[in-house]
Amino acid sequence: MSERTPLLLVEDLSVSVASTGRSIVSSAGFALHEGECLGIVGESGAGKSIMTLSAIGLQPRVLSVRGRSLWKGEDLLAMTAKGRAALYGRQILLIVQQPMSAFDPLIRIGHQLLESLRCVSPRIGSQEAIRRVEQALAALRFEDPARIMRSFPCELSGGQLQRCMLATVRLLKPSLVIADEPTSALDVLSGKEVVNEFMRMREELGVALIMITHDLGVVQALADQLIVMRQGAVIERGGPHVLTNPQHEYTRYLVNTRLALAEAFTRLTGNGGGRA
Amino acid sequence: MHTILKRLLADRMARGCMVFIAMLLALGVLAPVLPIADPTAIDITGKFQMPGGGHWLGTDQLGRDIFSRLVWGIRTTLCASLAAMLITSAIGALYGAIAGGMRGRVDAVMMRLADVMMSFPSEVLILAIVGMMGPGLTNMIIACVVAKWAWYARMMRTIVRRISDAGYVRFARVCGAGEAWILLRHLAPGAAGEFFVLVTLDTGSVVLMISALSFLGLGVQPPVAEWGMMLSEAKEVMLQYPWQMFWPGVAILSTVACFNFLGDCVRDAFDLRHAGRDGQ
Amino acid sequence: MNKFLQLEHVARSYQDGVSLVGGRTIWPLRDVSFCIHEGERVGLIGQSGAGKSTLARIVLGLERPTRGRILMQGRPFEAWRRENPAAMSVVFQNYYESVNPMWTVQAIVSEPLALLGRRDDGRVGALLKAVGLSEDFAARYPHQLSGGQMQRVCIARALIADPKFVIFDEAVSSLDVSVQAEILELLREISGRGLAWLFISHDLQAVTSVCSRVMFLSEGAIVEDLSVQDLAGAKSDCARELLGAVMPFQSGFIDSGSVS
Repeated sequence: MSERTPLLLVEDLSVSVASTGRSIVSSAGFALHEGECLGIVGESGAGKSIMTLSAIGLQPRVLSVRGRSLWKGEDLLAMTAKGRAALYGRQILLIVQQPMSAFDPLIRIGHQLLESLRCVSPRIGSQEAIRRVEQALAALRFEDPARIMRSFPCELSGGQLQRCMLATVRLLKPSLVIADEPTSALDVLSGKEVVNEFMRMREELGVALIMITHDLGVVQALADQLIVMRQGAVIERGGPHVLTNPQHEYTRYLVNTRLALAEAFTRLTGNGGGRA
Repeated sequence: MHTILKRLLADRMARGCMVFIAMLLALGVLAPVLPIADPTAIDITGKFQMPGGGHWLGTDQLGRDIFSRLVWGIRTTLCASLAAMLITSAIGALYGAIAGGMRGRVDAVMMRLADVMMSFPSEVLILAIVGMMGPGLTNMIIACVVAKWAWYARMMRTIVRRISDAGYVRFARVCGAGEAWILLRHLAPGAAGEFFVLVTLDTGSVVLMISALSFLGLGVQPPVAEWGMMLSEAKEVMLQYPWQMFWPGVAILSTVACFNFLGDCVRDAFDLRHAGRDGQ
Repeated sequence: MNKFLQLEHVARSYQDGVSLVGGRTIWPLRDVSFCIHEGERVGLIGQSGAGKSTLARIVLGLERPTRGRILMQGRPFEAWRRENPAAMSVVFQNYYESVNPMWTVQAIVSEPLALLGRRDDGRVGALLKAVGLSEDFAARYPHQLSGGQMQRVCIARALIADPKFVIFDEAVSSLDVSVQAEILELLREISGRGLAWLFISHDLQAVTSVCSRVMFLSEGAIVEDLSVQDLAGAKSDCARELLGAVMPFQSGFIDSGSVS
């Protein structure tokens, strides 16, 4: 157990529907340190996204949240909305599942990225801002950043849009990136690129990462520690051994099905897949 | 379809609205045989009476019984509105379904025509038509139809196109379903449902339109009872005898509101994912 | 084995932009030729934009090819479709959109039978059981089912009229990984029925678990076509790229039981 203050410490977080009291998440918790990657796995509907969004105060209005969520020691849930808003973008960044809906369809990508940059550095000169955006896009392996900047979201594929979202991480340099099923809506090639980018991001920028996904392969590639959620509760937690040696019956089921999915392929190609 | 009806009947609000409308229609239909005063019987000496005694809601400036005029007014206002709504939606639905089904150039030409109609502000168009053709109930209905059919056509065309592109229609085609099958089994029920929601929601505005035209003297002519015209007559004595304006106003308001609420309930009933108001 | 489906130099083009002013012609499919034999389970794999959706629509008969021809059991495509109604079926990617939301599961699954003018007589119940759902699902509506359950219903619907050929168009791509594994196991169970199928996907793991042969589609043409046994020896760039894109997953946990 590290002695540093965790970047984000969530304790006993419970989320329920405000009007009916129905529980969505019960007593969830985790500790995330700087530069660490936490994987949150479970099936759709397990409450992974809601728990994470509630922990940073972005839960849907119909839900009520109880518990503690400490960001660098300060209680996020007790903060004013304005106080939290100061953190979003600058220190905490959210990558959503559907890259198409992350961008305004009527505005070119370049403008939207510049806008995000200006939120964090309002006094930056326009030449310098454009240079930084192009640099960030180039780091995402785009061959022609200028063309990407001129494009509208509908002209790019899902994978390309997701990489543009990741470019904002390099522009804004937050302390924490929350990625909510970033590869689920993408085909395997784009998904692999996105996962590789997350790996590079962690190495080069040292950002902490919360990776919410139902794909155990992604989690195994990235996570230092992980929690398994089912029907709103955390049923297992730990380091990578949770996947290699699962204890809880449900975790075993998840691992089992993932292995079954890869079984034929592994047998035929002799390995569990290639390297990037 | 009967599931939807069941859901609708289980909704308290919907039941209330349907009962209210049914009651209105019943009163209107039975007006000649009900034991109420003659709506056109003038009694100058008995004018501006307060509610009570022989006149439940009082009398108007010519001594006519307001309650009776309200009931007889149902026949004019509500029936004219329903007739206008039926004709408009029938024409609009047919036009839009053809455009949406034919696609291509036919669709484009038909929709441009509809766009031209929609570019006229509907109130101005109605006034112009009635102005040209002269006042009267029939002309009022014609004017409403001309003003509104294009909107319904466009709505129906959108619905038809969306359903034609749906995955389940594609599946049926792959299985060898002909156009007739798709029309009868998927398009017609799906489109009818959504269209019905629109129609219910919009009936209130037609009632308002008819009343407004009569208020302006462009609809029915005296001594026929009609709610909008009753308002018009009452506005002359608004300050001295405000009760005369109150009753037709309440009648219009409650009828329009009732259709609006019913439209909401119908829409909720069609949306199977919606839990239903009373938690079902 | 007899040839069941044959595509010969099929190509498809669209006009992009307003053709009056002079739009570009796009060729999502440039030259596709392949053949599926009776009872064969073939996978078609390619990236987004390779032309998979266009090819799927053409094989399903929803679009006509600009060039080339399609033969089913030796007969021209359109003629075969007329002579064999409901002999071809499909399972789409978006399971909620591919069913009529106002119909019960019973009505949805029995639609192909109704198209043929046949009555149900218990087939719906039998098929629901065969896909792992209990018979009381027949009275439910689509919005009451989870994604995995809905896709099982779609599979039941695809099989009810005893088709000779089923196309799975990214049928598992929208499902959770754990549910994908379950559906793929279901497909393996039903593969004994002797029907030919075309399994379209962007995920090589899914394709290898249910197919005996795989075709790689890239930029509108089939670049490689080999048996899954020979997969490790694939030579084309497209195939090597897709092979390398599979996320590895290792675990020391070995469970001898089945997936469900």
